[in-house]
Amino acid sequence: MNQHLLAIDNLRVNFKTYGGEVQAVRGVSFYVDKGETVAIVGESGCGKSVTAQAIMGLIPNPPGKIVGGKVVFEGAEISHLPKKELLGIRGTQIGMVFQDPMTALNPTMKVGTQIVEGFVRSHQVSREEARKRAIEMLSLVGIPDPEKRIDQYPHQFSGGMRQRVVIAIALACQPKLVIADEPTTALDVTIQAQILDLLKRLQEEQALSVVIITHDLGVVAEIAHRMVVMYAGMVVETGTVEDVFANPRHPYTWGLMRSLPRLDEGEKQRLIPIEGSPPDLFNPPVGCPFAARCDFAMEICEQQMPVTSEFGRGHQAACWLHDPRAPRIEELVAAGRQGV
Amino acid sequence: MAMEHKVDPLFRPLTKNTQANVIARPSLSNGQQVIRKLLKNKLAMLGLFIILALVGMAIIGPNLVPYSYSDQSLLTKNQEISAEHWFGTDELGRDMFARTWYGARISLTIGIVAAFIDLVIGVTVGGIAGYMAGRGKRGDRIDTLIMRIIEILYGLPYLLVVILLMVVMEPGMLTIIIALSATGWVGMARLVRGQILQLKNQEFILAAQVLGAKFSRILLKHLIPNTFGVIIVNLTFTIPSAIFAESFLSFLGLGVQAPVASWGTMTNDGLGVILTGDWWRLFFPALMISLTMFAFNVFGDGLQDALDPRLRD
Amino acid sequence: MSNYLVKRILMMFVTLWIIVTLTFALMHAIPGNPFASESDQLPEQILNNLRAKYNLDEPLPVQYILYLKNLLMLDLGPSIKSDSRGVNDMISDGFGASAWLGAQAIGIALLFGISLGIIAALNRNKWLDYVAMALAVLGIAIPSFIMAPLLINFFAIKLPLFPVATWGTWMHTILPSLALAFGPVAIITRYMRASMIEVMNQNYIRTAEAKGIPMFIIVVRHGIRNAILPVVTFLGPLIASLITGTFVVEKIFAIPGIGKYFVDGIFNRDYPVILGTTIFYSAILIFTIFLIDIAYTLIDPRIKLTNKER
Repeated sequence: MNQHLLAIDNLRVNFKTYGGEVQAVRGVSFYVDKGETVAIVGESGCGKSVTAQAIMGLIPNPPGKIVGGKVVFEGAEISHLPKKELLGIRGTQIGMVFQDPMTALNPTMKVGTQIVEGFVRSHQVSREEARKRAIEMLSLVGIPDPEKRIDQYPHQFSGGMRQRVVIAIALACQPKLVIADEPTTALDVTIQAQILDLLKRLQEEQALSVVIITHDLGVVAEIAHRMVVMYAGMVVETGTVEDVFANPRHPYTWGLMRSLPRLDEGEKQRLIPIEGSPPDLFNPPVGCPFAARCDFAMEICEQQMPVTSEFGRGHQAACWLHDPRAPRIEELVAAGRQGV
Repeated sequence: MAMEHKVDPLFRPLTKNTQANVIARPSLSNGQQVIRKLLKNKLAMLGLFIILALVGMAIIGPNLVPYSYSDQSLLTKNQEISAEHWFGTDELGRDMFARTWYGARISLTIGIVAAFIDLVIGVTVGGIAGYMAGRGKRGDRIDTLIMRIIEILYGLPYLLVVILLMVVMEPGMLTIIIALSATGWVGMARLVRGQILQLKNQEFILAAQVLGAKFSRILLKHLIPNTFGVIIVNLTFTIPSAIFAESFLSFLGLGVQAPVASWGTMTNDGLGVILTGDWWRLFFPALMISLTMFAFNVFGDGLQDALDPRLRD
Repeated sequence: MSNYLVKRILMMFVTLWIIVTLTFALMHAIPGNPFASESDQLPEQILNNLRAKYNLDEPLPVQYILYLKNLLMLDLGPSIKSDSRGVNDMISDGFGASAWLGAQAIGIALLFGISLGIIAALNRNKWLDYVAMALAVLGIAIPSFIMAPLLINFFAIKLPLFPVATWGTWMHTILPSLALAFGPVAIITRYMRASMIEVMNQNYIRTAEAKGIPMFIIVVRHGIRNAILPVVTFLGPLIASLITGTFVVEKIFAIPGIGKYFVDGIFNRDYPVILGTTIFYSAILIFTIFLIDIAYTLIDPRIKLTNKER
């Protein structure tokens, strides 16, 4: 059967605030297959973390609410499950790695206890077994001296070590899918590389599926098989990492690439920021959300939501430029607009 | 020449409009936001209303009835509330309405004056300690000395100290205020010092120093205004605690002396007759104390919330 | 650790010594002599005997040294008004009732305060929260010396469920304990609510949720333990306010506790009694704060006794 491990279909999430309702996620669809790493990329506030939380059923309600769409895991719709059944999925089926390892661990509980807390619950194991499991998990994520370390508290660990512990927690029940929400953002650059290597190794060894959320295209290139580019609560482009990097199809993706330093362009290169800021999601524009910042915007972009175009091998982009009626990009560049 | 086919007007490129990028959201000044949030807080507004009403009645209340707080009349003793005596009378025939609002004057005056003295001493001492900390060896020594004294005073139970002082001093309004202020300023001093230490390392203070501003000027123009919020909030809590302490003292017989009445002495008198069923003797002063405590506390809470930038919407 | 403990215990005695000295100085700064009220009636000879007995003939520094010497032998001295009984007797007489009352009030305050705070925090901005917060506001608005007569009026006079006053059976202890605990319940509720709300918004709560742990267990295992820490620091001031609270509560309910002796001492201007009870209270307070500090390090692994020195 050709079933995806995780399929998200037209997901919509709103948050109620004093100022009105924020449409944080506005119809997001993508899928993750077994043994594959999918990266969700976008700037802060684009809804990537909310999407991740929605998969786990961790949207705080109130104020947040899934107002439409489906999350299908192993063929079963899980976004509207009762609390009890959700508990059976969290940890055991889907594990989660959080952004800030300094605050993701309970400061008053021993590290070992935190790692196996979910395991003890789902497997009903004895103290001995739980201890054995905790040691096993700590050595799996590369922490030396695990027998001693499991009885220590989080404040006795460095930032990178704590993130390893957080990963151990996510993997303790051998989930099929791990969602990593900006797992390296809060870490030093050298530690970032170590954590990425660890994630990559674990993904390969355990045939895991991984959803990695990041704003860092370097992380994407390093670890992901496919990527989903999000902007203002919507998916603007998706495809394999090779396709999207080699041949980006959405002006926002072009902008992301241009704002990234490249080693092959020598010292003369300029990093070009994307001007402006994302739209107000209290009152999102009717047309393409990127139109206001887009160098290639056309009349239609402000009036109608773009349709999704397909470029083969699952590479898709939602942009009016790919409509047959649109002028060709080369012409626009020739007319003085920013190029690729 | 490539544009020979007919271009759909919808697909005409837009001229870039930079205005479109600006998120239009009205911005309010800090003060406006605080006031707006405070006005929206119904409980805090109720508190403010009660405070104003109590202060108003303390000013005009005693003049609304044709009796003074000390007028005795054996003909009208122990009367229940009536058209003549709105809050009843006590065992000496004194009008409880006049006494209650006269007591309001005493209690509120003591509370407000004591809190104000706490404020002046606390801000001065805390400000000096906070400013001196980190200014060389001498500065640090001054700060450490002040903090040692504050720590010892802070460790003593406030009311116990006040009681001991009142035992030693002649009872009366002035001595109550002195006793209340003797250690009451400590909390404010700790607060102000902490605030100033936090502010000091910020760049605008450094800029003022670089520009050659004098110590007193930096303290007055920069540090005090920036700690204003916490000081005001603290004041809304020190006033009721001073009023509470006064009534506590009066209740123990250490407060103002007869015939002068405060809410505390009246509560104590009322308790003496609780078994006779003269409920109004206890009810009115006790109600006023509780209303005062309630009003200041909910208003202080509201103010604190309004000033807390983390709670802005 | 042991190094810190020794230092800490030493500091305890220094603080107590400062308090003794200050209180002693204060009591002897009173103009006139403590026998002023009686000196009219008593013959000169008896008065002199009394003075000698209380060392009042000696110069002040000598009196101070003698007082400290007695204090070291745990003798708080005689009472001026009562011939036969010293301050020690009063304290040992009153200790049982006061300690029982205080312990019961602390128990009620912690039990109700912590539970109400947790309930309010978990039902934030729902009616249970509003009820708990309304109770908390009442607790702060109604001082114990008003709460006590209210309780007597409603639960001893109108509805004769409990005895009006005095001390004896367990039934006698309920109303005064409630009157004493009412304010602290309110304060602990507010502390606990704020702390619990903050803790439940922490990232590690989300981590626990992601592990598939049920909310109830998360609240108990991860929430309460972390939220209770700031409440523990509040126990010191709580004990201090309970001590002052016993003054009025013991007076209103006519309970023969230390608080009543203290208040009587004030009323009679019995300075040795005031001095002695103040020192006793200070010692209790300093010792409890010491115990609380140690308890704190046991709950919070981040704090070690050794590196607590600033």
